[in-house]
Amino acid sequence: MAKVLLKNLTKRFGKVVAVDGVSVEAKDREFLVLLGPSGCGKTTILRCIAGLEIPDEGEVYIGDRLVNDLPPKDRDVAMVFQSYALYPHMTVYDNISFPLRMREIPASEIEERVKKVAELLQIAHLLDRKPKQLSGGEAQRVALGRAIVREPKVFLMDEPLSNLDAKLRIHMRAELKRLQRDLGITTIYVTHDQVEAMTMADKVAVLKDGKLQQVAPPDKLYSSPSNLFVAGFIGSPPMNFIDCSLVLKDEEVFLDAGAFVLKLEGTVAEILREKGATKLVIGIRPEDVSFVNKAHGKILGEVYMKEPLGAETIIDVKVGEYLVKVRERVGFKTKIGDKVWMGFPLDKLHVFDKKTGKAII
Amino acid sequence: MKKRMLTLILTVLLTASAVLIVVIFLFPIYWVVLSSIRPYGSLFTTKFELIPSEVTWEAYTWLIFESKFFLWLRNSLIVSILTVVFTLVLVIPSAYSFSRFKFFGKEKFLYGYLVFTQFAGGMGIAGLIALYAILAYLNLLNSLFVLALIYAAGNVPFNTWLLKTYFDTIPRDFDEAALVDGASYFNLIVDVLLPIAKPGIATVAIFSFMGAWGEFILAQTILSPENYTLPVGLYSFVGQFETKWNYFSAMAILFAVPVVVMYLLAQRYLQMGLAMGGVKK
Repeated sequence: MAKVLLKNLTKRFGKVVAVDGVSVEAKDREFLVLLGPSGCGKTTILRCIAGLEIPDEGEVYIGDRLVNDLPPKDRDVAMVFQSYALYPHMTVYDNISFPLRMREIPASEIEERVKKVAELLQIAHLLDRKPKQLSGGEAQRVALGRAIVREPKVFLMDEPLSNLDAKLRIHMRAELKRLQRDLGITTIYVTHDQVEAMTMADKVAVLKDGKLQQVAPPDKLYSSPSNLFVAGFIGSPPMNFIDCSLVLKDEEVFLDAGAFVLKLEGTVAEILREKGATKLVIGIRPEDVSFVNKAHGKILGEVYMKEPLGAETIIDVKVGEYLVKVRERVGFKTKIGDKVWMGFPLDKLHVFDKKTGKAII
Repeated sequence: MKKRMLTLILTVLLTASAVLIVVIFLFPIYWVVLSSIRPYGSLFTTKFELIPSEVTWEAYTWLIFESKFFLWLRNSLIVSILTVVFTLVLVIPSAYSFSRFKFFGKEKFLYGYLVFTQFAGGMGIAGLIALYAILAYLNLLNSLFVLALIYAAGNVPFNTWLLKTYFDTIPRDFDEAALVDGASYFNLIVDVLLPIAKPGIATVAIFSFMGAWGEFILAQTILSPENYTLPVGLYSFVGQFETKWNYFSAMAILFAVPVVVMYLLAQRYLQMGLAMGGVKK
């Protein structure tokens, strides 16, 4: 049991900066997800923690110990690979017991521990099989077993669910999360799937181009993204973005998007007036937009496309040059081509500086 | 119907030509077998016999009970097995390093390997004379051990390439999983990589065994009669005035048997796609 602390971690490959000054902490027993598109440096960070890459700058702590110079085997971490990397010539039993054998633990204890883990993961009946005789889900469990059996200080997982089919992935998502909670082992989990990150994490670190964008619990990440990238990356369908400019007229504050003008009041107006940036992007989540009558409407648009999903319908509404996605649950009757008025509560509005991408509100 | 007929004719023609090619290739071997079991005198008749009218095992009994066949066999086995051992000891670590590590001049070394073997090959007889001179000077002539070392040295470049290419196909995830699991580099190679690389290693072993088994010129140059290997022994049958072709043929057959056995034993490994299944791509 231990925390993992990264201080100003930097890793370059030739001229490419894969990880750029990342500082983040996973507290003891915490489930930290590193989330980002491919090539954002998340796997490199994981490999630096494992000791498979040596950072160019910065420090990696496991517990209170600086581990920069420790080889992987002395870091007391266990890693689950995207490919599982089960040794093909060994049986499941030998695969799971491998880390224990490498540590010269007595045979009787090895057997006991392997059996315990196999029962926990419900793979006791597979112990004599070879990896190629396993299904994807079974291989995944064996890979987990090999990590768990050591009872390491930290679990490192590199997209462990990405090779499973959709149904099994959802099942394993919950199971893995439950397992982590029961074992109480600090876990760092890499994924590009924002749903996986949101459902499993205690805390998510969003990365882009090697740089840390935001670290926050999933709900905070969703409700208060710190910049345009995070806002667009988290959530499906993603947040609607519309470019607009700030207009100050006498004492009043307006956002002019061309197709519509929003009048702002209260603290929102105050903050924007203070910041003074004129080129802005407003963001609103599809579920925060609703169809209203003309009197309460803020934006007028034309229904462009409907995507019924059963419990809800995603309706694309054309507003000027933009398509605004609306998550509609109440059974609002509309058809393509209809003119509709849309409204949203002002406190659900996100405003970003177009130049820096940073969230203002 | 017409199309079916055409396919049938095509199949028959293709099969027939395949059979013909096999017959052409196998005929010399059949002839050698034939020569080994026909009486010595009948080899020089002008009569062409595909099925011999008279069969004798005289050549084989002579080889086994009266010649130095088993001495030569022993020498050949010593040289060939030592060559395989030396080759593997040299090639496995270098192939692993070339496959997995980045180091200064890696590419140049790798190509240098090939260039220099070609260069040495081109030197031909000059290289042989130089080697003889060096061995004579160092008093190392007539040693099976030294012969095996020289064979192994010659095997290193090509086989390093071969095994490096094989190691390249083994995903690094295995290395990394083992290192994180607590393996040392020694454990990693012995417990994880070598078993996965068995097919590649079997190929290297066969190549180096066959090379040493069949080599004649160098063995003939540096060995004295008590250390003759099979090819050199075989050559000793070729006399100045007379060659016992039935003995010669019988020995050629016995000489080929171990090679065939080796192939059969190793075939299993050569075909096994062991690396499949453990890693999902």
